Amino acid sequence: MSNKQIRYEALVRAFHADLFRYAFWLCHQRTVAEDLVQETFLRAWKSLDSLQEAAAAKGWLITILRRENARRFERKQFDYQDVDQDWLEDEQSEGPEQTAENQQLHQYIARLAEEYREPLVLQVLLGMTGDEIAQTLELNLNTVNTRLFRARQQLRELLLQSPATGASQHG
Amino acid sequence: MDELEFRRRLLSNPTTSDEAVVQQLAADPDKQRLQHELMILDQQIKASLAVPVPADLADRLLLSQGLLQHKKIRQRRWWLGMAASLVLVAGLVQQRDHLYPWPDDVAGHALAHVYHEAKQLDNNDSLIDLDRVNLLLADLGGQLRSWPGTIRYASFCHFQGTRSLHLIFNTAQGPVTVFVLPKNHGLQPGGDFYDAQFHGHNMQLAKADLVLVAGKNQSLSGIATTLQQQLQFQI
Repeated sequence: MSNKQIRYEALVRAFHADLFRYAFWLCHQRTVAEDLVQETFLRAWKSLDSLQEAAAAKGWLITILRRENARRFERKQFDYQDVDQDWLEDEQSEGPEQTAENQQLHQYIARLAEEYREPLVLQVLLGMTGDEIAQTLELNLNTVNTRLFRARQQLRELLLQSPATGASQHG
Repeated sequence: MDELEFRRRLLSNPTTSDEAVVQQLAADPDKQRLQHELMILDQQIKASLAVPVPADLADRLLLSQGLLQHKKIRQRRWWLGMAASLVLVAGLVQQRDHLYPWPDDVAGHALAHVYHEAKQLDNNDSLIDLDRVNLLLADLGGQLRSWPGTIRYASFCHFQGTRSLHLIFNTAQGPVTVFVLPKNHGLQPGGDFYDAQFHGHNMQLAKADLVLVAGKNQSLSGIATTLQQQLQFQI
């Protein structure tokens, strides 16, 4: 196996799960998310030489995936009204590991505006810092922080309004 | 930092190391409770975001990269094949002057036949014994008394309707093609000739004409002498 293949396999093993989940939260469909991850890694393979250091790999892959997602929209304008329906279908296929509480929160997260959800996913799921998110989303840090604040604020409000899964039960 | 700014900073990152936030947390149990609540919320968010990943996704990703590589290699091979074909076609076009239309001089015919049977120049697998060569030569009234080297090809061909014998001899410098033409061939005799790849030499014997063709870097004088000594024709 070539050195390039060894690096590539390491990248796939390390980041495929994070990328799949990030892709899922971008497009809300498992099959599309999988396609996006496929495209992302194939592009990554082609330009692997441009990745100088492993520490930058996650941000680099996320950037490729976001571009692939944008391309997808160039190719086909999806009907946003279908998202909720797709969502429910995906929800049913999640399996028993998702608790009822998680499913509720899951739906609230899905209903957040994209601009609030995306930085939240990058921070909570992928463990990126505010600066890294700002760089990835091409926003200034202040804007990123404001969006993260609003995302959590909205989720808290939704959970407080929902008696079954009220945040107060956990506090 | 007022209350609102504190909440803004804490909600944007519940585990912030922002010193002003850390100081306010240390001084206020209510704020600590809020932080604790937010950290639990983050755990729940993380659990909700962590949708199941297809079990074999990593393997499939590696497989598709492997297939891409394979396809690329195949494409490269395809291009190599195409390039080789183009070179061949270009070569044929270049030689077309020799092939079509048939030239009316001995040299042109000789070169055309050499190119036509070019693969025989590389084929060293089968050798032809002298008896077999003499069997063919006998049709033209000739005979090789003996031959110092080996012979790899012997077959009749036509020089504008004249049945001629096409022979390929192995020499120390490489294969040499020799055409044996009966005298009545009707083609314009020539002297020495050459093209980009080969050079040739005409020998007019009493009973037949010989045309010798070899690679440009090969000498023809040695074989010409041997032929003159060994090849004889009946009266």
